Amino acid sequence: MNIIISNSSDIPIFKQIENSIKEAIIKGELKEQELLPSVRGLANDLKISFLTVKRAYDELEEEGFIKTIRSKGSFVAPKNLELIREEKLKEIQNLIEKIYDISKVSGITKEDVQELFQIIFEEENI
Amino acid sequence: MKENIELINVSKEYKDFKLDNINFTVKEGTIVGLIGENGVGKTTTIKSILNMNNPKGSIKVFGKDIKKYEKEVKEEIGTLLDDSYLSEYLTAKQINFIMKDMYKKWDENKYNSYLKEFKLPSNKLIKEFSSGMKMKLKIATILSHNPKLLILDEPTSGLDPIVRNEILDIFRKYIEEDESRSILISSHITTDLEHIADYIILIKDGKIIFNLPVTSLLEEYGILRCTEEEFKNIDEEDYINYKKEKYSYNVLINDKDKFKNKYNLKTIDKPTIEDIMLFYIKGDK
Amino acid sequence: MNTIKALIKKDLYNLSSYKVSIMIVVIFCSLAIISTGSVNYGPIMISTIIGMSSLSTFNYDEISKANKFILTLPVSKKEIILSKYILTISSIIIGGILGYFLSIALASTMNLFNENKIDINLMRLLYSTVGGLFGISLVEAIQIPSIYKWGAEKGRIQMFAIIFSIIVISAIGFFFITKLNVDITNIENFLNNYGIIFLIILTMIMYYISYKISYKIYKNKEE
Repeated sequence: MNIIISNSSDIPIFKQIENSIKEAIIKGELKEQELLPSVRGLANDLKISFLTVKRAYDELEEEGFIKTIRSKGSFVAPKNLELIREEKLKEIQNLIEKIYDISKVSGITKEDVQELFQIIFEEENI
Repeated sequence: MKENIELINVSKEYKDFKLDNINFTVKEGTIVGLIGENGVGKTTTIKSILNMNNPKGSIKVFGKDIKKYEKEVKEEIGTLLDDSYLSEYLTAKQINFIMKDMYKKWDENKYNSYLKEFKLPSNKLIKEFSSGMKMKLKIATILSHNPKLLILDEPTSGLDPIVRNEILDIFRKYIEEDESRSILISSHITTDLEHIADYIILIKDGKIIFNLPVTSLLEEYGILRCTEEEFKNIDEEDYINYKKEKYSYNVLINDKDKFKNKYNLKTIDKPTIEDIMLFYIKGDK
Repeated sequence: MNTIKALIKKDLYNLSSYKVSIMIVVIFCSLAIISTGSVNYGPIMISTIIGMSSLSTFNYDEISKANKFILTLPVSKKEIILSKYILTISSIIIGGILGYFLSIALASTMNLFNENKIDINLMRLLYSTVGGLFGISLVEAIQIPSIYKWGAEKGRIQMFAIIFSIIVISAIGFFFITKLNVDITNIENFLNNYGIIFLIILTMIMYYISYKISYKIYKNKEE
């Protein structure tokens, strides 16, 4: 699993950790039931406060990505993965609907949007 | 979480200086950093916790009154104070023989493995060690009875960055080993604390100015860069302190999200702990 | 008790670098005894050298700020002071015993080679040993509290001032006793009969008072 933290980013550190772990879970790098590093252990490795890591873990748990068992640690939650994917798809759908609304109002064509999409995805691949 | 250190209304008066009504706790599993200029009361606070200066107020370590249970409590603490040590005219091996009698729970094997890990010769006079080696030996000495609490007064001062980081890693490893352990660490090198502490306590003139999680200091605080006119439009309760520079105003705010919602001012930088400390100590407010 | 042992060990390790110089001084003293034939001064010299060396542990402690460190360990101030007194008293006693037997050995060896034999009076030698121990004890009983009060470096000057004033006071006292025409033959008799026991008891009282004063000074001192 890769966790890359940038201090200059506008995204708070706990969110960056949260996103990295989510990504690893969704990509399958972290398997179901797999034990995550301990809060203090991860904090030490990232050289940050354990409270930051704790907050990331708390939010992940709230969203159903991980499950914490006292004195045993945090594990990747089972089953919910399909649900998470669906949830994400829904989120994307909402955003696309927004794009659709904006383009319709301003007369931007489907081709223009698709081209923009292409550019963004290609940038990502570099 | 239980408290490993609890200070309630602790005061200590000297001729020219006063530690004034200090209250804070160090919970199990946490690292608390004390910052502030030299001579503002960091060392006095630490000495109070160790019952070395007869302070007023209530001090509990592991839930026990330090004045009543001093010996029992000190069996479980490891302390680095100033540049004090047993003697420089001894060898690391002799230190082992001495400390064996000093602590009931002294772990000879652990001490020897530290010597090996830190590459410290056991038969050479400590006097001949480099300053980094001396510090590592001191650390080996205070860790080998498996203390529950470490109290560290300026453990990284006077050392080069590489050794400083090695030493911080030792402390990170120590706290990771057991969830009930804590560290209280004072330093004027705030970047060190930024990367190891969970909470920061700022002391000024014998008083606590703030006691906050590092996370909120680094992520919720911000430094606004603005013009004089813009600054005059900000309500006084929306910032903590400011510094008038030649061409601009620098303003410390403690909730940048809220601030961004209220004002249309966008040039807000992430602060370091040193920045925040300087605003509190040297600000113009 | 173990912590006191630890503190004494620390002092002994510190002193181990003194081994060679103590040996040299002892040899030098032996030569002095041989050349002058003053066997009776042997125990005094040896116990002074060994007894005084324990005071230098205070200097070692001061250089390393040892007491500041020790007070973070499970050790009380009482134990710190007790360890110093135990070390000092035992080093003086060891010095005395060593001096006593070394003097006998030296005198006997000299008698093997010399025409005019030295008279080895064991009782007189014992008197001089105990007298010597008393003298050094007096100095140390004054010096230890003054070190706690003023520090190992400064304490030295203060100590000489105190010893000097004691000499002056006793001289004045002695002057008055003779002036008042008190019959001192009783005192002399007493000293001849019970001298050693009297001196030993006096030394013990002296150390006890000295210890109490040191503790009182150190209790309120902040390292």
